[in-house]
This record gives sequence, C-alpha cells and structure tokens, in this order.
Amino acid sequence: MKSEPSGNSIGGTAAGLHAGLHAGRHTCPWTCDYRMKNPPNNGKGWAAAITRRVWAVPVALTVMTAAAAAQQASAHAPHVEARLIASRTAVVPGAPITVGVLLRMEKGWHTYWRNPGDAGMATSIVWKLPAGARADSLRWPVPELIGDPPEVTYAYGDFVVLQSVIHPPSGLAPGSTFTIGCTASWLVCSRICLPGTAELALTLPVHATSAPADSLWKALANTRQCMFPNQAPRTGVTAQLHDSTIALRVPLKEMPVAARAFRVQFFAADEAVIDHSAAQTFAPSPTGLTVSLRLSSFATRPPQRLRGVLEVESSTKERMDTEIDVPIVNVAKK
Amino acid sequence: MRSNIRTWIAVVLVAAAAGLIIGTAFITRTAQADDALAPDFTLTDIHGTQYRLADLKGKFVVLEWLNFDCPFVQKHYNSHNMQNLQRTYRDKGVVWLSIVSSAAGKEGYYSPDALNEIAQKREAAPTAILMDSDGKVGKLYGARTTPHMFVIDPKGEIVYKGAIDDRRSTNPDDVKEAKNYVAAALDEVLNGKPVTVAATQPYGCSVKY
Repeated sequence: MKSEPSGNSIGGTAAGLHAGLHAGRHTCPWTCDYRMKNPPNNGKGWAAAITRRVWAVPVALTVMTAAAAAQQASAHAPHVEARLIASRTAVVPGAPITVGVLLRMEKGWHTYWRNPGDAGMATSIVWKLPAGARADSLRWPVPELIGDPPEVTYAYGDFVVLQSVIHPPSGLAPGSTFTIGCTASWLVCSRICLPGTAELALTLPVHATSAPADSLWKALANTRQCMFPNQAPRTGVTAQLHDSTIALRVPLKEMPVAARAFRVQFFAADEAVIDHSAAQTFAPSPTGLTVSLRLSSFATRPPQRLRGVLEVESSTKERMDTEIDVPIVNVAKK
Repeated sequence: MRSNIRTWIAVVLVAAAAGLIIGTAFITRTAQADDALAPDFTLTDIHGTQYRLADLKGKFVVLEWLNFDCPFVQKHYNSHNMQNLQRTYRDKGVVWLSIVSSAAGKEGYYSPDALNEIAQKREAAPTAILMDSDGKVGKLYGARTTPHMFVIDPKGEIVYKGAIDDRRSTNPDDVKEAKNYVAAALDEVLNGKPVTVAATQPYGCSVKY
C-alpha cells in the first residue's frame, strides 16, 4: 500500500506539490487561500471547484465524469453534497484500503473538524461493513479557522475528505463484490446552521492480487482537504502552563520549517484547553519554535494534556502540519 | 523616651503592614467574588414587562440563551428537555429567563408577538422570554452559543455557566443519555450543596449578534 495517500507527511507532500506545480509558475491555491473565510468557489459545480485546486485539470475532469458514473455513491443534502470514495477501484482480500467521505459544501458554508471550536458540531461517520471487515478510527484533514473573535471555529469550507482505513477479510472471493456503507452526519453552517445526514454505499469488485488506484482519489490526494497532519512520534516536544499561557515548544529537528516560520496555527483537539480565538504568538529560535497559546476561560482546572495539530508555514509557503499530544506541565504551582 | 518612640513607630509600621496585607487579601477576595457576581441588567420580555436581575435577589435564577431556529436549541425543545427543565425548576421556585440576543434580521430574531407564538407552539415554560436584540446583555455575560446556560444563586453569584449537558450534538435522542449540567447544579444548590461542575464550555450555534 505504498501509494496510499493516507499517512502522508504534509511536509513531504508540500515539496512534491511544488514540483508538480512547476514551482513558481503556479501558486498552490489551497495553501494560499485556505485562511479566507469563504474559499473561492464560483458555485458552478463540483468539477469547477475541484479544478481550481488540482493542477492536473484535464485528468481531474475526466476522472470526475467516469467516477461519478461508475461507482461513487453520493447524496445531495441542503448545502452539502456527500460522496463515498475509495483510494482504489477494487478490493484485494485482506489488503487494507482507504475510503473517505467527500463532503462538498456550497460556497459560504462549512462543516466541522473533530473539535469544532467555539460553536458547531463535529461530523460523524459510522461505517457499515460486511462481516469480518473492520475500520480504523476516522482521520481528519487539517481544518481552517472560520469565524471572528471571540467566536472561532475549526471547520472546512469548500470540501473535505474524512477518511478511514478499512480492513477487508482475507477470505473474500475474487470476482465477488465488497460493499462499504456509512452514515455521515454533520452540521453545516453559514449564517445559520442545518444538521444533515446521508446514507452512502460503495460497491467495489474483489480482485485476487492487485487493485488499481482510483483516479479521483489521486487527484484529490494532494489537496489540503485530503491530507492529514504528520503523525510520526515527536521527541522533545513540551507544553508548559504558566499563569494563563500554554507555551508549546517544538525542537527544530522535529519541524525544520519552524526555523522559517511565517505563520503558525495550533488547532486544539479538545475543548476547554485553549482559547480558540486568542491570537497565537510564536518565537522561532536556533533550537526550535515556541508557540504561546492562551488558556481557555472555560478551563476550570489546569488542563492535563495538549492535543491537536500544529501547522507551520514559511514565507515561501512550505507547510508542515504535525500531530501534538503531550502532557501539560504546570510550572506556576502556587 | 527615644526607645519608646522607636517602639511606637515600629508598632505603627507593623500595624500598617498588617492592614495592607489584610486589605490586599480583602481586595483579592472581593475581586474573586466580583468574577462570580452576575452582572445586573434590565430587559423587557415579549409581553412588555421589564425584568431587572437585581430585583430577583433571594431567588435562584436560570439564564438560557435562546434561538428557536438553532438545531442545538431545537434538539432540546423537540425532545421537550428544555420545557421539562423549565417546569421542574419553576415548580421549585426558580426564575427561568430565556434571552434572545439575535439581532434584527439575523437567525432567531422574531418580533415579541412572533416569539410568543413560537413559544406557545413549543409549549415553552420559562418565567419570561427577554428581548436582547442589541446583544448588550449577551455580550455582558459572554454568551457564546445557543443554548448557553447560567445558574445564579440568591446572593447573585453565578454558580454554574456553560453547556446544558455533555452531549455536543443536535440529536434529540442524546438527551436521554446526557449528563445535564444545569439540572445537576440546580439540584445541588437547591439542597444547599456546593456545585460540583461549576463551568463547562458551552456548545451550540453561535449567538447571532
């Protein structure tokens, strides 16, 4: 499963992305635009939205048409189109396959990350799998900040692919089919919020030994909304609580881009730990990066753990996102 | 004589220092008390009656931030959770004020008459529904979401603020399984006990200021 996009390091992918974009000739729109409240989307449809974000425009278009006709189960709900997609066009017995729920939001609407922030609700995906199959936990691409202080949410505008690795049983018979189903539930918000739900199913043929990569998946794989933070274990990352500030320190060797940090954003995975809307200041040093986060006013006792995603971007748009999960040491013990 | 003066000066200095310490401690305590003190406000309800928080001293008061069009609020009204809480605790002498801070033209804003009609249809049973269209009271309390709940004790101190329960969802079925923080806080204070969970992060729709 070498070519599986799941588990990609965004740092690594960013380099690839620049190569793909013939660095300098294009700018990568999702890196540049994603902090906008309403990411550009002219509302002319799915294909148009995708082509803005994927450099391989003709490929993506072809894939869209073929994929939609062939197998992708989709559902239309108010302001959201939901689609179940897979990384491969067939299933191999016993071989893990990544599947994703692609949610495409109408312009100006957004759905939420695992911690929605100050308002909203995390999207939920409940898998329905054939006997003997199991799904790993859901993985969330890096969200964007949406809203204005004092109320800020962690959400996805435009589109997102929420993913799980599915493990099919090894006893599947080649020539048969394998159906992956799920119930996706979300809250979609603009100036108002509406809950939505979709029952999706995707039937894939079972191949004996190999399954070709899905072209739509490939086209989406390098977009911000399809990539995960780097989950490799990090050493030397610390978090210290002093009064009402949490100082997150990341050694340079764990995050080389931090030396040239231009924009830094920490997305907290838990509520009542940091103030989501407070400005986050950062200070690069020769050894690492310190990010200052304001303690949440909803924290009734010192929080024990800092979990979330740290995103660091350089002025040249080199970006790295990394999972953070460290204990918070309270250094202001009275 | 000289040593007497010295002693006298020393006594005065010690007394002054002690006074300063006590004073500082007192100021600190007052500051903390102020943090918990519910800010006073006056708002008009949908029938034109004025409600001033200071007039309700001596009673337990619940503030509920309300937007009938918010799916999180609908969860608690469709399941009758909110109405049941309102009835249960009003029967025990609690004053329940639902506050609508939606600005005119934004989601959840209705004229007092329209709000009255919706509230009746919903069988809502608060003591009053208060109009806060300029959002002043919502901002004074830092109301972030609908619902966002506050429980105020007879001394005027906020003893609970935050979410209505521990299930951040819009699904009415979750109400049965949820731990209701407002009910827990009210049950404790009505029985003279301190509140175990005094603050949580609220969940819901953003307040449409």
